[in-house]
Amino acid sequence: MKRRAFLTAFASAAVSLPFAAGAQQARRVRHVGVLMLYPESDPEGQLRARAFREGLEERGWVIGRNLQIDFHWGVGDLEWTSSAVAEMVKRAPEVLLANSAQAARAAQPASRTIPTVFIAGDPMTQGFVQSLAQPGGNMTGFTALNLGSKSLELLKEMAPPVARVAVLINPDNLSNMADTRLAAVAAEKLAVEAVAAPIRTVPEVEAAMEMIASKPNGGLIVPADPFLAGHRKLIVGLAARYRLPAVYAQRSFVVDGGLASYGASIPALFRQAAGYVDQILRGEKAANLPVQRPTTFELVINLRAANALGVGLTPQLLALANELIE
Amino acid sequence: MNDRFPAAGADIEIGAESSARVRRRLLGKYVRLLVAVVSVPLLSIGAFGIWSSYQDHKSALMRLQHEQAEAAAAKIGQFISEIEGQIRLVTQLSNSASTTQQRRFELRLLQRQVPAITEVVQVDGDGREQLKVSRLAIDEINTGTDLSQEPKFVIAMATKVYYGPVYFQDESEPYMTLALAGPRRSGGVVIAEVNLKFIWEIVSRIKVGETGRAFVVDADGRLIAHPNSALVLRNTDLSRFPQVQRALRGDHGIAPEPVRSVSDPLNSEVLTSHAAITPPGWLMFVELPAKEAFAPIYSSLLVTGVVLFAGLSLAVFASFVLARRMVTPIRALQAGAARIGGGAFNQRIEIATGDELEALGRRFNSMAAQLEHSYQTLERKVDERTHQLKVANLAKSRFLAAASHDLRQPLHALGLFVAQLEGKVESAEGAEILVRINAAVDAMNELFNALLDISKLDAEVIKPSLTKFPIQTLLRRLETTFAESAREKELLLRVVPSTAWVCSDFILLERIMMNLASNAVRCTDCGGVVIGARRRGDTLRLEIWDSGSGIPDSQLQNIFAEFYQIAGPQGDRRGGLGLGLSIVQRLCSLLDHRIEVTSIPGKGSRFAILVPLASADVAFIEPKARAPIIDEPCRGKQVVVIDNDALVLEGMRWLLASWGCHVVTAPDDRAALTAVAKLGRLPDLIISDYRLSEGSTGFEAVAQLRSALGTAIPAFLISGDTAPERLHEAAASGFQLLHKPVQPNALRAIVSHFLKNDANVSCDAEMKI
Repeated sequence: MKRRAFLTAFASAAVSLPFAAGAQQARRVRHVGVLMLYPESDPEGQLRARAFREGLEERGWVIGRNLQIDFHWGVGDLEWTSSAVAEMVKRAPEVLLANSAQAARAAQPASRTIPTVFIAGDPMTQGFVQSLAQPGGNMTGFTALNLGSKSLELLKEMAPPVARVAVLINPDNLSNMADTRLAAVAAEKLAVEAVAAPIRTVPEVEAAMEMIASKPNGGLIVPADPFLAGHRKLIVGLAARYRLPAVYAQRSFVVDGGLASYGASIPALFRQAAGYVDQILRGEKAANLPVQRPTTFELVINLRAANALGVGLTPQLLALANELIE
Repeated sequence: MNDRFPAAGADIEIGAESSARVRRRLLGKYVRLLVAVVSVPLLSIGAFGIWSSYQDHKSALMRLQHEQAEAAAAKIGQFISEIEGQIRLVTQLSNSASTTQQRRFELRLLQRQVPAITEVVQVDGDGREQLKVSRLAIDEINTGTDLSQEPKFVIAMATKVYYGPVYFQDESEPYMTLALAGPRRSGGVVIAEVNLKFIWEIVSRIKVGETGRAFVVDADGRLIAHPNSALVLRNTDLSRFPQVQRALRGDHGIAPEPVRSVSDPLNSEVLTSHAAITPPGWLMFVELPAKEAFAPIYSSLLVTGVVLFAGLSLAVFASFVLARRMVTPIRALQAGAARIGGGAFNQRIEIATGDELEALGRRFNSMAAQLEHSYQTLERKVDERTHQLKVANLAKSRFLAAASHDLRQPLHALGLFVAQLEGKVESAEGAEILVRINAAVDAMNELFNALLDISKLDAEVIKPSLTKFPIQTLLRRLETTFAESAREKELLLRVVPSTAWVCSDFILLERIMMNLASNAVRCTDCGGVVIGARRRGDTLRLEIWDSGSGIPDSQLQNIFAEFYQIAGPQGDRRGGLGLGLSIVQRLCSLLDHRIEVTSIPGKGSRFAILVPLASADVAFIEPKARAPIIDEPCRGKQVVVIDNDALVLEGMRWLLASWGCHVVTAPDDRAALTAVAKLGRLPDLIISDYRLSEGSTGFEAVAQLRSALGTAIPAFLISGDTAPERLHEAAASGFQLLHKPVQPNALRAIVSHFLKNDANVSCDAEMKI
């Protein structure tokens, strides 16, 4: 009798042990820190955050139960982002997500101990990674492609009379410089004059716009840059005022009234970044994850802006657009 | 007679030991048998069940995996086919004579429909590039680049479709060239660069169990899609893996055994299967870690194991109980038999199993009853016989006593008269005759003493007092005693000295050895006698060897019988009554010393007495050999002698007077009283015969006299009666009792003794022979 009782106790204990162990492991709450480019009020920022959350949920994380995400919103200069990083690090995140090159640069020192996923331009030249295929350090992520030439082509297609194009660039942004060069090459082929307009402050924006508008048949190319993106309402407003057709790099401009944008969908990149964060949480090393470039590019056209500018959109163009905003 | 049963009991004791082992064996045997009967089929069925379920599970797993691989392959194949389809649509459109702008639009539309295509090129029928539309760079129109020699053009033109090898752009993006030719040669070829990252998405989303994965390998064995993109970007070559080799060979059978994982070769063993992705000639692999794959098997194994174990323990438990129930009645029988064998015939075995064992138990019981009955009968017979023997023995002793008593009286007187005569004879002839008469009287005294000894021993009046003493003292006395007689017969007497100490009664042991030595000397005509002591363990063997005529085996038992004498070669009697050895035997049994006899007729005999050894630490005082005390304590003392035999009285009076005593004689105590009264003084000693006339005893006479005179005058008794009862009475009364015939010297010694310490005579010291 005693032997049987012992036996059943032993068997049930042996069977229940793995369950207990499994349950134990599930209860640990993981921690992720996110440095967002846009402020919380910005709908684009919300889109990106949502895409990130959804990407994680798809991979089995339940936010609040086994995962905690700290969002740090806002556009800022390097100093601000550094203090933000310091604060975030205090809360001991296991992975950092940095949106924009500034955030990534600010997070770089912390990245020595905390794996960091960036969504930023030109990681190699910025020194985040050794190579795109093998990052080699504790940072990896997603980068945008320079679509300067294609943007110019699109601009010329939409507004054939355009003869002079200003490329608004942030001189501190190296990828903007690449775009400028691409635009210059395209401009030659398209028989257009391309001018680089370096902008650091708001008055410089107005000055650049004025400069381009001073001569007829002007156009605008606005590549991706956090500063520029932060002031998109201003830029779009000015472009409308000066009746300049423009092709932007980001959809958010078009949403705010810009004519058209051609670029990678950043929220999609955030979704993919969620995949990387998931892998890192499951033990993958950041050095093993290659830096990825976007695979999908969207053409977004604002019909109202087109009407306002008097830009005639061919049915073909309309057919080719990925999104039409009214 | 009692010897037999203890022996039987001893056998049973030995039997009990081995039967204990046998008892355990039976239970164990039954338990093992029952357990084997249950467990063998149980285990074999269990094992077979496990094995067959394992096989089933494995084949089900493999089938499932294969289907998963097929499904995954289909997904990828479908993806490629869709792209192909879209491109084909475009090639078909290229038939019509359309403008470059239209063509451009078609190609851009293609790109919009198929996000995977990053770049598409229209080549005319001669291999010249007509149009290039790109997502990233500016479209190029009519570059005129000659692609006529390129495999992508040539093969597409030839076979309508071309699947290029996988290459990496900027080391991080996998691409494939897909070229399709139109239905007409003039249509040329549409070449698209397909970004295979889109395949990565699909591959990562394929679910294979919980921890399994799917990956794609191209026709050269290179990894082109894997959930872990880093592996792909490292341009991993998997052609070394056996499963990949097999698949590349076209062997699409199911591989049942786990292999090293492609993804993480160091850690896991996986079950893998593959399927072909036909359009591009790729292979889709699906791997599932063996641990996860076999987890259900392992858990079912565990469950089965647990159940088997529980079943087994139950079986063991049940068989134990069952076997015990079977074995218990057998054990009861065994124990009962043991008890009966041990002599407890009144025990009965209780078995109530209702089967043959119960019948057996009942048989045992009836057998025990029979044994009990016969044993009781036997005991009764034995008791009867013993009683008879005792009675006979007692009768014999009484006869002896009675016979000797009548003979003792005149002999006693004779001794006295001879002593009287000794002082009167003057002539040499007369003296010689007197010597011979003395010798005869001595011999008769000896004989009577021997008879008395036997009576005393039979009456169990003698109590041995055990002391520790060195045997050398005894040996020395033996030597002294027999040296003379040995020399007379020209025999060699050798007494071997010994340092041993023994625990025995000195005087009785001396008596034994004296008797044996005397026999040895008497029976040996030539040769010698050797007396020695030999240590044997914790006993000492006192041995007497003689080179006499020996004792035949047939008579060895009889020599200890009374009055038995071995007839010599001449048939003469050797002297003595044949009582020596009887006394020796009785003394030995009284002292609990063993006797051994060995003899070879014609050569000699050896007698051995086994005496317990003692440690030599006790101071030993040698009892003095009794030498008659010739002293003068008798002079002037007044002695009263009471005896109903006038002859004896006369003799006693003379003897005592010759020692210097004043004697008063009387036939009974009343006469004695009268005589003493006439004397006017109290007597110093009273000597009385035991058996007086008219049935009164010497005790009463002395008592009467003492009370009449008012003092406890020292007294002792003389008796011719050697019956055991007399001896007991004497011992009980506390009076010293001498037996007729009393040697004059001995009498004198005792009289002197009494007269010397008349103040404090101890009456309880028994006189030893």
